[in-house]
Amino acid sequence: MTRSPIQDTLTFPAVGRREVRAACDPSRPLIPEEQGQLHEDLSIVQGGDRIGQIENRIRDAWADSYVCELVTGHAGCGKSTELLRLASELRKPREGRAYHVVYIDAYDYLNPFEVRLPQLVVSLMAALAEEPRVDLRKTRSGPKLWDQVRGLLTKAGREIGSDLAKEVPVLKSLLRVDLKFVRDFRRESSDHIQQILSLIRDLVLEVRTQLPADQSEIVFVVDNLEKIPDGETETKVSLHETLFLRELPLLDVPAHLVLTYPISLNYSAVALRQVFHDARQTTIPMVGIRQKPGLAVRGDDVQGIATLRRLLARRVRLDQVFTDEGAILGVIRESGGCVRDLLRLVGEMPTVGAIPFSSATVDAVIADYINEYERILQGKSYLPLLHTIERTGAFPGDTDPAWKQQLLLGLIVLEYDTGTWYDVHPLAKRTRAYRAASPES
Amino acid sequence: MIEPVDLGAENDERMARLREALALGGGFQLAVVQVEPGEQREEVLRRLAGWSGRNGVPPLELVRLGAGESPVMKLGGGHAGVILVGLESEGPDRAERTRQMVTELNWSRDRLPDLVRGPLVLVVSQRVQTELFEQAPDFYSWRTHSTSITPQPRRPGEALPVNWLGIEDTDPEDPDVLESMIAHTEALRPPALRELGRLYLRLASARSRRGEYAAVDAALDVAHQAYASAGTPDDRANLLLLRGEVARRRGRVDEASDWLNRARSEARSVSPTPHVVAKLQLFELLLALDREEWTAALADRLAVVAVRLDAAGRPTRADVARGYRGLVLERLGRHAEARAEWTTALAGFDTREQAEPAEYLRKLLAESDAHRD
Repeated sequence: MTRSPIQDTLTFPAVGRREVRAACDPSRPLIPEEQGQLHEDLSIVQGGDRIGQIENRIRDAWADSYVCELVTGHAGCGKSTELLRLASELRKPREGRAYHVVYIDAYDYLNPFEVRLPQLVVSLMAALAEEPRVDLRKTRSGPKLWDQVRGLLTKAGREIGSDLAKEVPVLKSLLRVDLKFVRDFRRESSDHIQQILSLIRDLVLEVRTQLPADQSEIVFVVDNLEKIPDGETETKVSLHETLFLRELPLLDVPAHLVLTYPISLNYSAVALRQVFHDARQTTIPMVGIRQKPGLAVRGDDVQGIATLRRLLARRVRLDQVFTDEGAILGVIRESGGCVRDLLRLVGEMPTVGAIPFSSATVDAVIADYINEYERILQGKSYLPLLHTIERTGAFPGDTDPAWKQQLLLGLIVLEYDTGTWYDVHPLAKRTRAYRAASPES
Repeated sequence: MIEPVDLGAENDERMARLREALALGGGFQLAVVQVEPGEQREEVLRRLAGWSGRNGVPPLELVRLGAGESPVMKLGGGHAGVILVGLESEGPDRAERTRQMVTELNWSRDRLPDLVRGPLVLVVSQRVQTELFEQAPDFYSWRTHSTSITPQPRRPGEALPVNWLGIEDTDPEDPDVLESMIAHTEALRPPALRELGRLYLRLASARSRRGEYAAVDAALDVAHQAYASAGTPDDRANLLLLRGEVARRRGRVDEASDWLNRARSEARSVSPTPHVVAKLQLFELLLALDREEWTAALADRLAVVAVRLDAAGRPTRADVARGYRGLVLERLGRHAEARAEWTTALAGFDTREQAEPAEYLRKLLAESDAHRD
């Protein structure tokens, strides 16, 4: 994340066509420098400030107890934005205490087709070696761990130099790119995993002694682990279950851990909290834009819509970009409370109409996305289930877990208020496939 | 030289919006264009190449993924803009390969803006788009524009996937793999001419799927020579039918009819197998469709051919016949029957995990609904 803040080149709130498109680019998670300008606090409409609660739990941890936070959410719910904000907040001193946050983007260290505990431990070591205030050579366990890892790398077929600081770029590249090598390394490591875990524990402890006294606690934030694809391990077991339910719980370091995980594990038979000692799970939900089930008539969630309106107003000049409140309300409703979808829909408007955008522009822009859902949904066996979810706000108890995963991952069904209730994406509801599957049709 | 293809007014409008979206973007942007491989896709690529570097659209470099190539590695080196094709993959493991490539894009998403400074335009089939939607939500949710090029409704024969009437009931094959097999087979002594003929026929079919018609003709010529000395009448009839199918794909209906007549003569020189007979009949009916003979009689004859193909142990081709029959019925206003045919055929393709024709039928079902709204 080395790009410059967007406000260096764009004046907010945007007014022109090109500017509106740039201001609503869904592919730009907010970096810390952009937060002040563009971040809207959604916590009140997402069932509370979940990220703030994580920060509080870390800050409230007593003496040498460490928290493990497991974070997930749908694509586009703002995970990365929120984790970057968390890292930024934890680095700020509060009550005389700040944290040394090591932010690890899994992409930089891991190969998605072979992510296991040994590689993750090596990535923690490499990330520490890259920290400017840390010199692993001045620790006792750093060189020892590196020697151990080097030995395993050699057995896996790669000789590597003895100076870890110099070799980190090569190590990262090897772990990311060479799948065969990574698999060999993991196999070689399996007999030594306890030693490696013990050494990384010692290393983290020693590193903390090099840090300033008021910032000597370390928080590892490991982002993008949720993108690891599921598959089978060599023993024909689910990779997700192996990594997240068996191996990662073994990682016991004297630091706070914030790990992302695939949302599908929310629906796994084995609960994450059962296997992680004292871990807390956080799912970042969508913003509610429709009232919860249970009411005779379910209207708009006024608070949710107002919050998304404020979020949008930070980016575009609503009174000049839209003809009226009806158009603004329309596009917010069609987003289903998914911030990324909202930004995409508004960002697409300049391609179908002139400013100011009307309700007709909203209709034109959603047409392509409805078609997209149409093609995905046609012929799918789960269509009748969608009507049950729309009506009850819940998955029936006997729902096929594979369907559940597919519906949630593909944003066909959206989760609100962290599992409290679900709804079908408004664009999916507009498809003929959905309507044709209605029990009333 | 690729000849321009008429995409139709609706698709032209979609393409105009795509151009507008590309011109309005200031930096990295992900655009997805769903269009099946074949002439329509080649036309889309031709238009994208024509926009490149003009009227505000950044320069766009065409990147075609070869067998086993990594999309992210292929994007290395920095680009102003990219049109990426080839995520469909080919060969027996194509579903797995596509899944790997989609996973890789999902995993590497945050780095893509470093590799491509401007638009990254993915040109994909419905099968790949569904895979992106379901398996790579993080990556896919970054799209700033998404469009679909729909088949032209007045040319139903052309709209169907090319290989539906290929010489073998196989999924799309990788031409590179076939060429390698041919190289090994050609080295055999004594020469395995009939096998070579079959391989060249498969190569022609694979090339035809990509719209590479010059290469198709060359492969068919070699297959013709091989079959002339070592093939059976059924082999030769199959070859002539494939020539007819290729002509049909190019819109040359009269030429296709000539090939059909020659195939019939060849097959009748001996007692043809029930499969060849049914294929000849099916091809005749498809030519009638190309001539827009939308009649109830045609629908009935397609139903008979489907039964014969099933009896001949060719369920894929039988489902193809059902797909076509659905088109006729839809045209005749017998929507419920059309849907029933497509649904039956769709179940067959799904069971055999033939994703492309299955996705195509899903689109037909969706479009049929749309026209009734």
